[in-house]
Amino acid sequence: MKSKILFESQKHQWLVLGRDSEKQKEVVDTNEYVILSDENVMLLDPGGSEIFSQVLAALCRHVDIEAIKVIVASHQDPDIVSSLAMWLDLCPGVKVFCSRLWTGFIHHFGMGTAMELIGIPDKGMEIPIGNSGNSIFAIPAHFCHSSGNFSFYDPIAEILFSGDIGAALLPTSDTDLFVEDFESHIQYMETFHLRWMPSSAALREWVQRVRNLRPVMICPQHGAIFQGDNAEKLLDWLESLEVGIHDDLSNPELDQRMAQLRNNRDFSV
Amino acid sequence: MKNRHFQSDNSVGSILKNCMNILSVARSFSSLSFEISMLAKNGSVHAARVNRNEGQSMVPLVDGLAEISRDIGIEIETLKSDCILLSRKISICSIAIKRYYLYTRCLAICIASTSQGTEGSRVSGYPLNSDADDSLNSEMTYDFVESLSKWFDSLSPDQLDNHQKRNMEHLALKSRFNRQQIETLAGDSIQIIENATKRLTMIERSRLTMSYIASSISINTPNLKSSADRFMDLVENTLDLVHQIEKEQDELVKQAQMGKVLLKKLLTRKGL
Repeated sequence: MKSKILFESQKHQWLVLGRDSEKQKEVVDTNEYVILSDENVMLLDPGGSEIFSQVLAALCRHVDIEAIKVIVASHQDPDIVSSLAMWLDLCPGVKVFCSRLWTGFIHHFGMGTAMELIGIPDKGMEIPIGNSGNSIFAIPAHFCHSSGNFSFYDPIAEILFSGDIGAALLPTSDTDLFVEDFESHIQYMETFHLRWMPSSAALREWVQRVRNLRPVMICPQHGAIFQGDNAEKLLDWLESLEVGIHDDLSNPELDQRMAQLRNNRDFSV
Repeated sequence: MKNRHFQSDNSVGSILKNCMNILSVARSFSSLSFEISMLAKNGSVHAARVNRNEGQSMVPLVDGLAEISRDIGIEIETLKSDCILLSRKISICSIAIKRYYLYTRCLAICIASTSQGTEGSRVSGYPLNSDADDSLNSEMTYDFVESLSKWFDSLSPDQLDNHQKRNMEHLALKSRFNRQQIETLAGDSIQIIENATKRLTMIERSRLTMSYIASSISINTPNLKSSADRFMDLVENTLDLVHQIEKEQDELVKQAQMGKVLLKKLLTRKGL
């Protein structure tokens, strides 16, 4: 698994872990982000249980595992946070933040482990990075794609973790961690956004919100990172995108089969 | 590494499946117990209907059937609660196995990446190859934590950061804790299976008594002037039940033996 420092100041660091060459091919590739702030560690979307060992091994090289104080989840999907029980077991006392909509659901990943799960209100909130005195901010991203969804902005590093927004399904695990050529990168993002993002209006609202923040880097959970001009290009592209289901979903064969089974019902006991 | 991981999932899956089978057979015993009690009630009704002198010989036999239904009912209830406890233990055990795998797998990756270029270095019971997969194929031992610290000593200071060392020690301790938890739970589960097997011996005794009572009723039935057909039906139904109990009992014994083998594999680390 590759790892790279995205930002580094005296007591504040951003790290990305990703491009896991060991994972099973059926498992979607994910990026895990780590903030180390004055010896307090925060994990952003720590990933699924299938890649837990690789993420942990990569993390072991950079931070003290017991310094993990906070985990944030952009939404509730298994690739985001199904490894939670293991993190909680290794680092008891970790605070977990996710949309208030998903707290009851994310508890299902607990496997009996004690969990301090804090619901983020719909309008967002400030989330302290342990005792560092620094915080990140939960930026509403509802319906992009999940109905309870957040991006996270760090004003010190000026980095925005965008969750599934800007995500790309890349063909191989040896691809660059950063987008080099935005135009050729679109092919890996387009299908994902057209199908996974249900609302153009929600996406545009999010773009507006993010434009005001002017992040220097936009880091999605899948695919490559956008920095500088590419971050701006991503916002323009997202703003112009018409998402949601447009395909004709009628399926006469299936309808006929259901009707046939309904008509052939045997009511005898 | 991928195949090995799937293999661990399969072994946990086999244990869980076996546990569910045991629970399901134990549940099917409940309906049999109910059927025995119904047969005993029917028998009492038939015995009361026949002429007092003629029916006299049948009364202790159908009473015996009623007594068996009570005894077998108690054994089956205990068997059922044992099996529910077993499924709880196995569920917790499977979580511990999952954790153990993920932590030791992480350690294997850490060790393999640190050991690249240090050919031949080993942790006792944990060969250090560049291929983490081979490390996983080895058996983890209780002295793993101690062995790991010896391995640390064998490294030059620039090979391992302090926090990396602390992290690996932390993981080793957690793995050992999980290993102990797995062993305790697997040991408890084997004990429960052995208790269940003892219950089966009691059930078998009741089954044989039932069979004996059915034969006795069958012998006495030709002497009856009335209700002979009804008693012959009772005999037939009782023998049917005896066969059903025997079948379920055999299945449970088979599943219990399989469960013990799987759990003992866990205890001897061959299954992990």
